[in-house]
Amino acid sequence: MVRSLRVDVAVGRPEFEVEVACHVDPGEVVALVGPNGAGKSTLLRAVAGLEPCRGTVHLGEQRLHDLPARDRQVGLVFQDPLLFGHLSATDNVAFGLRAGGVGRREARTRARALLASWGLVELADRPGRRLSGGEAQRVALARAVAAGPHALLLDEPLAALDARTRLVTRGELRVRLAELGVPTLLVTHDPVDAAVLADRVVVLEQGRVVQEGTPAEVSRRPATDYVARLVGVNLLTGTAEGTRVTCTSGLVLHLASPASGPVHCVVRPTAVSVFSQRPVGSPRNVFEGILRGMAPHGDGVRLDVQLVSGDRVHAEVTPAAVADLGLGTATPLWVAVKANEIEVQTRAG
Amino acid sequence: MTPRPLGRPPWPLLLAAGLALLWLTVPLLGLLVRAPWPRAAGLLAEPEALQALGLSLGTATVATVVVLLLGVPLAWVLSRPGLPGAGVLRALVTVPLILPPVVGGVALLTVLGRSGLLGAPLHEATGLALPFTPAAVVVAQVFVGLPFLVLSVEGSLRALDPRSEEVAATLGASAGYTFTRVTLPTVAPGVLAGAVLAWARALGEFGATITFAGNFPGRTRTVPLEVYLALQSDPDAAVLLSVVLMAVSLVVLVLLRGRWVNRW
Repeated sequence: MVRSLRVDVAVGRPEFEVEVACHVDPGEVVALVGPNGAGKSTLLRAVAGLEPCRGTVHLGEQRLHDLPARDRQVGLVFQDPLLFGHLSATDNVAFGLRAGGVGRREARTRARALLASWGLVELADRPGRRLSGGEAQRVALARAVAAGPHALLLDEPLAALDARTRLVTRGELRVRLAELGVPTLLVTHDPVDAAVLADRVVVLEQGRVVQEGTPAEVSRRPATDYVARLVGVNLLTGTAEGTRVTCTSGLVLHLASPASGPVHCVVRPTAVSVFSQRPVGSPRNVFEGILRGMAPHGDGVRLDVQLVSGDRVHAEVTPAAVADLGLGTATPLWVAVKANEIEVQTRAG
Repeated sequence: MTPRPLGRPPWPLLLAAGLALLWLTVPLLGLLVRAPWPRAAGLLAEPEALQALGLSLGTATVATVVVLLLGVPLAWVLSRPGLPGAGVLRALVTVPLILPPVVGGVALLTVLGRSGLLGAPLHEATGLALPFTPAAVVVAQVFVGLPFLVLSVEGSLRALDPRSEEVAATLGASAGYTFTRVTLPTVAPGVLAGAVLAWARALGEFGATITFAGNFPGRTRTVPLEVYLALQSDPDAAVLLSVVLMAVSLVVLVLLRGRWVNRW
């Protein structure tokens, strides 16, 4: 039976108190975002039972806060895979079962079956220390899942991976989390993670929740500068066929490499160029729109553009560019995105 | 050839370095040169030599087992973060490393000798006395060998990512299961290196042994003691046994250097 996770804890820290109340429904993924040192990892550790804290952690009716870490049945995956280097991938995945008293043969069979169903069977016999970053992180997730957790805590699970591996692993993680259906708390710094993986975003600053909502809500009305920077990526949802993505709004995007099925297309605001006239030359994704707003953003200016299709796109440009373009509210303009600047992430249909 | 970016190295430094190297190697080379190679097999087959070799191997190995059984737990305790008085404890562990071995022997004698602080009641109660027994040799060897293992293992344990043990806990492992299945295998290279060092140190132990355990042929006369005695009666035998001990040291050095230990 899958139960929801309810957290209401306070953890003392030298600089400030981390005081957070939140809940995660079964199958829901909640992204905990916030600046470095905001208390995100501390909160995860408190939920896992690794950090002394006051308050309560409930899984359904079960009082986790009364239990030591090893009895909580809450899976934890860190930024580093932390595989047991002397054990094979199979034995790493079997570790939780073995610790729980399952026999060696039975535990190995089940671990191997899980690795096989995740397409990782060729890693099964490799020692943990001989796996690449992406492989190791997948095995680390399998290890947490194999122990049969009732909730999952992921502490920047993709942060240590290179961009390409991160993209692939993120897509897989999405699928795994959907299969697993347990409440999941995900700490991340990456706006794409929040946009693609999370059903809800909880923003933490200085140990307090400053905003909470769906990724779309939070990115539409960011409560603080940090949130604006963090969640302000463009997320377009559509269906891919070869290098063409047709968005729900009717907008058509061209990709650098083919994809298929339902996808998220992620475009960073810095990858969006803005022109006062239709640009000539290479960009294949050129759209007409109207400027709806602009705001200073770090060293640059963030433009809010409404495309003819109705989609809203954020673009980040230099103050000099704003002057050159002679921008004002409701100015018609053109935006362009290079095909290779679009990150494609498959989504559940 | 491109000129050296920092110029020619100063000659006094090179001279001193060369002298230091000679200081370390010439005596050992001298041993090899003077060793009575034609008589080697015969000398090593002498009953005194065989007896001493057997006793040394036996006691050093038993001492190493004791060192492992006691030293690994001590290293684990010392490596725990937030241990009160950790600095003092670590200093205490280090003392036998720098203590003159003969002082260690005298110290052991005052405590465990037949009329020692603990030795006297033990002797009264059971009639047992440690000095002049192989057990006393082992006690002296553990005393001098233990710090090597503890420091080596503690270093490995402190280099361990504490989150490994935390991951094991979230997977449902008890502290004991985590120690035997995660912690210990991960620091195995450090344990092995420490054990080899402790064994080598035990094998070469002289001062504490002769002071505390005495010099009884077949019971406490280990190879270093045999070497010392033979120097009076049969210098050839002394040189040859010294070569044997040196060879063991070199083997240990080869085992410990490079990545062999790390790649355990």
